[in-house]
Amino acid sequence: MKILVIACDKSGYPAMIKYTTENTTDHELTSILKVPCLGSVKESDILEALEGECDRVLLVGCPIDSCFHQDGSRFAQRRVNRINHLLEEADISKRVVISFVTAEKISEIKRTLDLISGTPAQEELKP
Amino acid sequence: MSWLKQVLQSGHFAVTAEVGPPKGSDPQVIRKKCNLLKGFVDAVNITDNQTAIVRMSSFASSLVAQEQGIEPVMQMVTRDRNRIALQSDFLGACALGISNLLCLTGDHQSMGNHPQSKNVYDIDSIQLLQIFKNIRDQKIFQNGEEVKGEMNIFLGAGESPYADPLEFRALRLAKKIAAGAEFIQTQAIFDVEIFTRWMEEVCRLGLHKKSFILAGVIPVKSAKALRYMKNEVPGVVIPDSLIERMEAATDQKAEGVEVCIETIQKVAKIEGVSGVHIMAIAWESIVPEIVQRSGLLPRPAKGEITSS
Amino acid sequence: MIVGERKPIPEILAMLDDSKKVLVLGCGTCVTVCLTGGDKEAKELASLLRIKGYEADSLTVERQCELEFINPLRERIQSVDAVISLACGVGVQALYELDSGKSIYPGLNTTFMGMPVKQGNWEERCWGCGDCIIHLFGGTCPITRCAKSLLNGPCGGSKDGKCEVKPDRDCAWQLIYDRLKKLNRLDWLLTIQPPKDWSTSRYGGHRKMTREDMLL
Repeated sequence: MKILVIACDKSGYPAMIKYTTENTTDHELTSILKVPCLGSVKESDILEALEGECDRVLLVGCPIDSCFHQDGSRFAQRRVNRINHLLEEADISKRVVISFVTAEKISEIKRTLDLISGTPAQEELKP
Repeated sequence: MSWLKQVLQSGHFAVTAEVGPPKGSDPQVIRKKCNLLKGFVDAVNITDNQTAIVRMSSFASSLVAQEQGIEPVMQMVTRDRNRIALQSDFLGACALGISNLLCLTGDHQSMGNHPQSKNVYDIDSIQLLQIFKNIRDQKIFQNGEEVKGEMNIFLGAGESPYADPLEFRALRLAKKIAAGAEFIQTQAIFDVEIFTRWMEEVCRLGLHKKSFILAGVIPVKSAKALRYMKNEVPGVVIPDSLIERMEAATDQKAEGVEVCIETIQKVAKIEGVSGVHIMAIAWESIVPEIVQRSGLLPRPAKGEITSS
Repeated sequence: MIVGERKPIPEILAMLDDSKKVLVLGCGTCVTVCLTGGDKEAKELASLLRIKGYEADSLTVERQCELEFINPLRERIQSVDAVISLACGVGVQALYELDSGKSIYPGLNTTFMGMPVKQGNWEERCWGCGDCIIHLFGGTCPITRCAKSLLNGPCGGSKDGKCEVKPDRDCAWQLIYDRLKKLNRLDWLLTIQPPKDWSTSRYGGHRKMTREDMLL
């Protein structure tokens, strides 16, 4: 799948860089955009990204309870849920995925990318 | 003149029951139920699309009951009709000899089988009582215009001693009586203690002298039914001990009847209680046994009481 | 403020049918506050429509219910096949008064006049009866907040301060009782409130209001 990545500069972005340097994936990561915090990503930004060629937008950032900017990841999770509901309602197969990592612990990225399969239900599976 | 009124005024402990009209057009259903109750009750309430489920109208059903020789208490709710229709039906009831009206607000349509309908609630039960009283006594419509003819209607209302806010219930009863309620039928009593305290307050306010209060009872068939009522029906308080008693019984139906009879006998002793209203929902056939075993027979017959 | 909820997207798509160029119009007042029809929501809907293959764009004006704000949109409306208005029913009808000849589809189901009781939660408060008597009931409008609009409540369906019709809703009469008790004015509840004059409400017919001194 074509995945556009938006990552926060505290944890998501460094984690993505580390991951892509050390690993490969079957998915095509069309771009990795750096943002100050996932909380700064608006729904309209995500939707604009989905208007492009990508099949998925992947948000990567700090874990919810240890977001550097306190509630950024929490709000991002809610926005992701909301957009996914809208996409489902509109019968659009694209989806947004969110992954919480630290700069060092990048295993979560692999797990997330492995889950992205084209089946939205699968992708929402949590551990 | 209302027979129920005569019975109550003569000091007899009155007995009323309830008949739900059919979800169809067959008057035989009503006749059968009335025949079961004849001789065991002084009057029978005919419900008005109760719980917002469409049934044969209480007006038509009351006439059928009347033809069967049993006095109806026609229930009227304000949910489905505005003041124009309600006043109109009042006149119609008078014309056809219906002599008792119970004024209620009525369950919201969302609880019934036509939840998409619009409700009316142009007026509430207290305003309805006042309007009817004024038609009867002052001979004026709600707008002040003159009403012609004689109207002999005994007006009643319902009250729930257990609904919230609890401390306001006796005062609300006072309001209903001031509005025109001459007799009251209460919501089903399972907790006699709370009811006793409510009656103390009612008597303290002198309300028992201004209106006849009939204590409502419901014979239950099972502990499950009791539990359902406890959780789902507002205005009904059921002590846990009662549920436990029903659960422990070998024959829950018989125990339910036993409980009902005991309740009747207890409330009959409370000052201010002038009668009992037996709401044997879908179990009208049990009423004769309850009345008989509660020691309420024989019912006064016409001729035994001279109307004042 | 007027509150509405977005219509389900399948319903909106069904309205659009075979329109190609679509304009999503947001409204900057009530529906912005209740987060259903403002600029943000208009942009989102336009985005979704573009992903679905429509040529969609969005625009938001201060208030769609005032002709002075929507008159400038005439040309823009002419250039599209269909307009989805995210305004309340008033705004949608105002757009029709532009007589554009285009279909203006309501993107919201307008529901009630209410307020945000806390972030994310809006509740109905006023029914527009045209004869306000809130002060007689300790500040809780019984017409709006009582499911049966009782003026001499409560009914027997009040349980633990909640209404049996909508169990997550407060019983208006419990609120009235509590407030009047605090104000030491329970005596007001002993007066029998007469039947309401509904002729000032929507039941009396379509209403209008005029300020003679302001007519041009």
